[in-house]
Amino acid sequence: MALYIGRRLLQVIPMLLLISLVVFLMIQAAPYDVVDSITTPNMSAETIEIIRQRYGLDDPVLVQYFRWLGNVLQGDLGYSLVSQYSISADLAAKIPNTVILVVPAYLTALALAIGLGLWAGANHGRRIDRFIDGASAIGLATPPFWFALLVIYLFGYYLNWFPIIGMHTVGQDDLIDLLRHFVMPYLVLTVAFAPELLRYVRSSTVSQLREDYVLVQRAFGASRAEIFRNHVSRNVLLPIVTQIGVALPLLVTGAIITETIFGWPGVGPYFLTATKSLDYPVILAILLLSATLVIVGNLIADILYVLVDPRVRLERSRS
Amino acid sequence: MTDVLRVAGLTVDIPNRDGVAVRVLHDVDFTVGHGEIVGVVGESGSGKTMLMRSVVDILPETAIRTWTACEVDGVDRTTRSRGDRLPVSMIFQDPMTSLNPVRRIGYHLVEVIRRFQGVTGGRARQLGIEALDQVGIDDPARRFRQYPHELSGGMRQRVMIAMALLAKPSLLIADEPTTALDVTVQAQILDLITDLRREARLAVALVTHDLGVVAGTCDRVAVMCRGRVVEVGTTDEIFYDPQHPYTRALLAAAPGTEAAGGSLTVSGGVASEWVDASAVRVQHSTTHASLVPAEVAP
Ligand SMILES: Nc1ncnc2c1ncn2[C@@H]1O[C@H](COP(=O)(O)OP(=O)(O)OP(=O)(O)O)[C@@H](O)[C@H]1O
Ligand SMILES: [Mg+2]
Repeated sequence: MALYIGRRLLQVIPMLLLISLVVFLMIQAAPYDVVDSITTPNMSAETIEIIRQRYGLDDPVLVQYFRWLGNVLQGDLGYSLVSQYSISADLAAKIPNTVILVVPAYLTALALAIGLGLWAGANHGRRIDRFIDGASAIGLATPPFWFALLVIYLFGYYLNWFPIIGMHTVGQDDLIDLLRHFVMPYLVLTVAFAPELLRYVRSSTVSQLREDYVLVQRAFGASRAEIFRNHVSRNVLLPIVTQIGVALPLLVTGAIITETIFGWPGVGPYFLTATKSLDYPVILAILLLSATLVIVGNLIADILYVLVDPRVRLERSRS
Repeated sequence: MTDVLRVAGLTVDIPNRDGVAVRVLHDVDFTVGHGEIVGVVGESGSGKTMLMRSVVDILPETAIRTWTACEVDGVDRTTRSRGDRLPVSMIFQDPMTSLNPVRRIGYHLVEVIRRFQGVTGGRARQLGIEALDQVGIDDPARRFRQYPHELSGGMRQRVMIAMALLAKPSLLIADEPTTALDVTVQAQILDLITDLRREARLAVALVTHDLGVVAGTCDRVAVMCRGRVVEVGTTDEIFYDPQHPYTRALLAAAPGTEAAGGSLTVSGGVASEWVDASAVRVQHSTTHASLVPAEVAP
């Protein structure tokens, strides 16, 4: 088991290196010269050349790559072209805001999906199933920005229950104020996350109920409730832990549109602003981060899967 | 002495996709006496599995079942309330998929022990391990803790039999219990079933495609065709004095009745040419056969 996890970790390292190389080459290929962000137009060509040498920009590409990689590993993602601020420092301020929005929304969506998905699947083809399935289809087809606007109109404008924009009212930073700002983007995000998870739980419940072991359990006198509680739900829920690994990148890029609409000061507005002003270092830093989280998330998913599924658990540790 | 199982006038309709009821069993009579092994043969789709599922109450949800009699150990079981425990256990064709892959062997056994014997905890565990031992599983304490995928097909079928025994049945229904297993294991499982018949005084209904198995293990045979039992008799009567044309065709189609693996499929026109013939039912009554016209199905 430890061997398997160790091997999987080793597999991930080349992948991460490859991604970092791709991102680095994209920076290199970008239609701007890094030196422009340091120099001013009235510097002489010699001065610029000296600066270039000082920053090592005339070294071979590979040398530059490893220097850049070394910086990234130390948490230095470079500087924004527009604001000249450190990207790492900016992200360190934005990511927690995204996380406190995404994590509760995702967990709520997961809980809803499990509850409703099992319920629908257990009543496959009946009215309640068609209702839940229909609702999740509508949810899947609804663009989050449209639903966000609806929510803003209803709760923010018409009923005027919640503030429409931002995370804090200026001058106020108590918890109640934060929660009042939190409700609407949280609601929108939950509705955005839930349908896909719900469909997954429902269809896996339906297919589990068709398995032979269910018929066998019936033959051995198990009631519907017993079969569901002791056998089916376990088969449905075990693979879901892997979803949690797969959801890891959401911590950074999970709420870009919702955050932007609600002016929530997370990664979303930061990323969109950078995109609009072609702020390459910022865009690529976020790209690098989210690609890394995808890979690490998949690794976590695999490891969790091995931990929870008895079948994989044994085969893997034997091989 | 009363029979262990007596079913009479059993008819089952299952609506197909278009909602049209398809009759899968027509007025079936079926009995199993004490300590008897009754073989049930007939080609694929003839309703063998549906007959067994009717008895243990696990028909598809949409199925409509009617019968004039269903007695188990002489007790009327025509109508059952939920939670009624029949002294009938059933094991299935594919032991690979019969067990829940994410539950240990022991969990399966302990559940049945709790349900049928009201025993829990360490005592249930002990009974479970003893049951594994009884069906010939080596190192039962270790197997008890393992997951289904860690056992071979033959061992899993033994686990199913152990589960079946723990329900304290008078009748064991085995629906093609060896079809999914390789030949040597097939023989071991059949030996186990015949041994249990003697030791545990168990009656057995054995569904099979293999006429060799029927000849080797069964006391009586019921031949099924298109949802009807067309001929019932002792094994000798069926093999040496078959009355119904469908039975004769089955026997002729089998590549030597002693040959293991002789598959029961009538080649050529399949069952359709026996539609008319199956309106006639043959009931061997101890020595002489009589032709009984069955009610013509709607
Ligand atoms: N779940 C189901 N729903 C509806 N009809 C079914 C279902 N299972 C079987 N049938 C139909 O019931 C009839 C009898 O099937 P059954 O499975 O009892 O045959 P069988 O004799 O056991 O065949 P086999 O030897 O292949 O196991 C067939 O016509 C089949 O199409
Ligand atoms: Mg069958």
